[in-house]
Formats: sequence, structure tokens, C-alpha cells
Amino acid sequence: MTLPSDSDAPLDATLNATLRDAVSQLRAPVPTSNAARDAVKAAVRADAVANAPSRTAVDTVVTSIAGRSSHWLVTPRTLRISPLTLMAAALALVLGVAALSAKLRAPISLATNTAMPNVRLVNAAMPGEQVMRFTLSAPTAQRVSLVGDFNNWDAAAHALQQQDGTWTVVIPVAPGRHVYGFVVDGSRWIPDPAAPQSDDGDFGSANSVVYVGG
Amino acid sequence: MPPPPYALRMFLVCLGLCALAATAGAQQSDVTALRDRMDAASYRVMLALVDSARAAGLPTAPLISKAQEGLLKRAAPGAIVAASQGLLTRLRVAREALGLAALPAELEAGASALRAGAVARNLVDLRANRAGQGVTVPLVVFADLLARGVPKDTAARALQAMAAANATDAAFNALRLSIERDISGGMLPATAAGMRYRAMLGRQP
Repeated sequence: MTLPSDSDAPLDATLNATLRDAVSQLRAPVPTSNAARDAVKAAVRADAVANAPSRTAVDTVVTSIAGRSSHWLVTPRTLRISPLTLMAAALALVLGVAALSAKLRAPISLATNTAMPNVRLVNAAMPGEQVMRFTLSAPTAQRVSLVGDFNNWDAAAHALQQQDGTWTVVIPVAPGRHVYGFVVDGSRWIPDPAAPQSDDGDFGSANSVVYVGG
Repeated sequence: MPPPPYALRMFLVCLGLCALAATAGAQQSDVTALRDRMDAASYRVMLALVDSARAAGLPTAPLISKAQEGLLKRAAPGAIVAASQGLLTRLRVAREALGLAALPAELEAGASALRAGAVARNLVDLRANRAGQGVTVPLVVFADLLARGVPKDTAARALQAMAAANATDAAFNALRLSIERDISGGMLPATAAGMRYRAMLGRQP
């Protein structure tokens, strides 16, 4: 490459042409052999390994992912959700909790005693709730129902089964004080003869009481 | 701390509304069970009683249960309403006697004992003698003894002495059973109660 002298004219045009030529040459790839390129790459790799901290490639990837995740988690962002979707999500959450609660009613343990011996504790259905056996000796009865505040005084809710004159039903009962009685043959009211009485006298016949500890 | 995003606030509001609706629905279902079986006027009175109890922080289930019991026993609507009003009054008295921390079961047992003839002072004394322990079972036994004819003062004295001696629920129930057996065997209720509680406490009759 030659530079223009002061005597050359016009100077600007010559300088521009020279510069263009220089740029063109500098942009052109430097001719090297394959062996030279491989030697340069090997030297770069060796230098990187020698100076890098003691981390594996997996470490590097994990750190990168963790960094991106934490960044994603803490970065505020705008959610675009319709009110209907929100309501549906809230309803689903409430139903989910209710379903989970119902699932927890599975039998979990056995127990052997009760505060009142008139009805027998069979087992515990859920924390606090107890499964109780109610019995009544009525050899001549045709049908017997258990009614009380635990079944909304519904005579159709819990029919007793008879064996050798003894009528029995087993039901779960929630903790608390409960009043109950037996309906014999659809019309006759009989309190549990072995249980404490709650003689409210409001409706002409006494009730029986059972207390289920929590 | 910046306020939660709009979407989160909306979600929480929706969640609260759903939970509220579920709770109200559960309560309403109990009351509607009465509506379907009572005349309109009686049902309105029952609704007012239940609202009153709820506002006072008293359990509402006993009132609904009382009405359902009356319906099962084919009582007249007026008798059902009167019985429910009386029960609400006794629940209030029981709460005053047993304290604001009284459990629903204790209030129900207290109301039952009051109906059987106990007075508020009996409940106050029993609570004081059984501090830190529940009084449901003693009150159930109290109501039972009164129903079987044991004089109020005798029953109260027996139960107070048992409570002061830190008797367990099982001991209260054993007392009830032994008195019941004696009465069934022909002994006077007052004699049976006096003798049995002294025996359980190791005293001479």
C-alpha cells in the first residue's frame, strides 16, 4: 500500500481511494491453514480451563436455571384474568377444601371407652367423632328407629336391625351432648332405659342423653 | 410493602364470598328444613329465635333440634314455639352462669338442668368447683338425678362435693348409675343420692 504525496492531485480523491483500499484489505479474511486454526483453538481452550473456577458444566447449567427461575419468581408481572375465571378458581378452591375435608373422614383409629356407658363406642371415624352402637331390647317390636339431634329427629334416618330381640344400630356421632330416643313401630316413643334422662317435658316424653367427648 | 396485585385481591374477595355463601347455605338449609314442615307464622318466630341466638353468640342447633323433636312428636305449633323460646331463655341463663367461654355442650347441658329444676347458682358453683375441667357430664348427671326425683338441694350437694374432690367424668357417671339402681330397687331418691355420693367420697352415711 502506498500513501499519496503532496504533489499528487487531487489529494482528497486519492486519499479516499487509498482508505477504501485499506478497509477492503483489512476486511478480507486472513488466509490461514487448518493446522494454524486448530492450534489457536486448542490454545484458547487450554487457557479457559486453566483460568476457570472449579465448576462443572452441570453446575453452570443449574446455576443458570436457578438464576433465571428466581428472577422469574421475584419479578413483578401483570396477570390478565377475567373476573369469571377468578370466581371459578375461588369456587374450585372451596370445593377442593370441602372434598379434602370429606376425605379425612376415613376411619383412623380404634377406641374403647366412652363417658356414658349406655351406648357403646365402636371406633373413631375422625378426630373427635365417634362411631357408637345403640341397642334396645324390644322382642315384640316390628321395627325400631333411632332419632335424635344427630339425625334431625328423622325417623327414617336410622333403622335398627333386630337379632334375638335386641335391636342395634351403629352410627358416627359428632362430639357434644346429644339427646335421642327410639321410635317403636312408627309411633311409640321410648327413651333409652340405660341412659341418663333429659326430662324436658316439653312434648310429653323424656329424652335420653349421650355425651361424646371431643 | 406494596399492595397485592389487583388479580390477587379479586381472588381473595371471590374466595371470601364463596366461603360466606357456603356457610350461609349450610345454616339456611337447617332452617329451611323447618320451613317445609311448619306453618308460616311459626316458622317466622323460629327464624327470629335462631337469629337472636346467633346474634347473642349462643348455639342455634339446639333450637332447631327442639323444633324438629316437636315435629317428630307431633306437638302443636304453639307448643313447639313455646318450647324453643324457653330453651333460648335457658341458654342465655346458662351462658351467664357458666361464662362466655362455656362450650355449646355445656350450655345445652346447663339449659337442660335448669329445665329440670336447677337454678343458675347451681351452675355457677359447679363451674367454680370444677375449674379447668368441663362441666358437661356433671350437668348431664344433675339433670338426670332431678328427672329421677332426687331433690335439687341433695343433688346439688352431691355433685358439688364430687366436683370439689376432683371426681372424673367416669365417677360422675358411676354415681348416676348407682343411684339409679338404688331407686329402681325401691330406695327413696334423696336417700339413694345422699348415701351414694358419701360412699364414693369415702365418707360415712
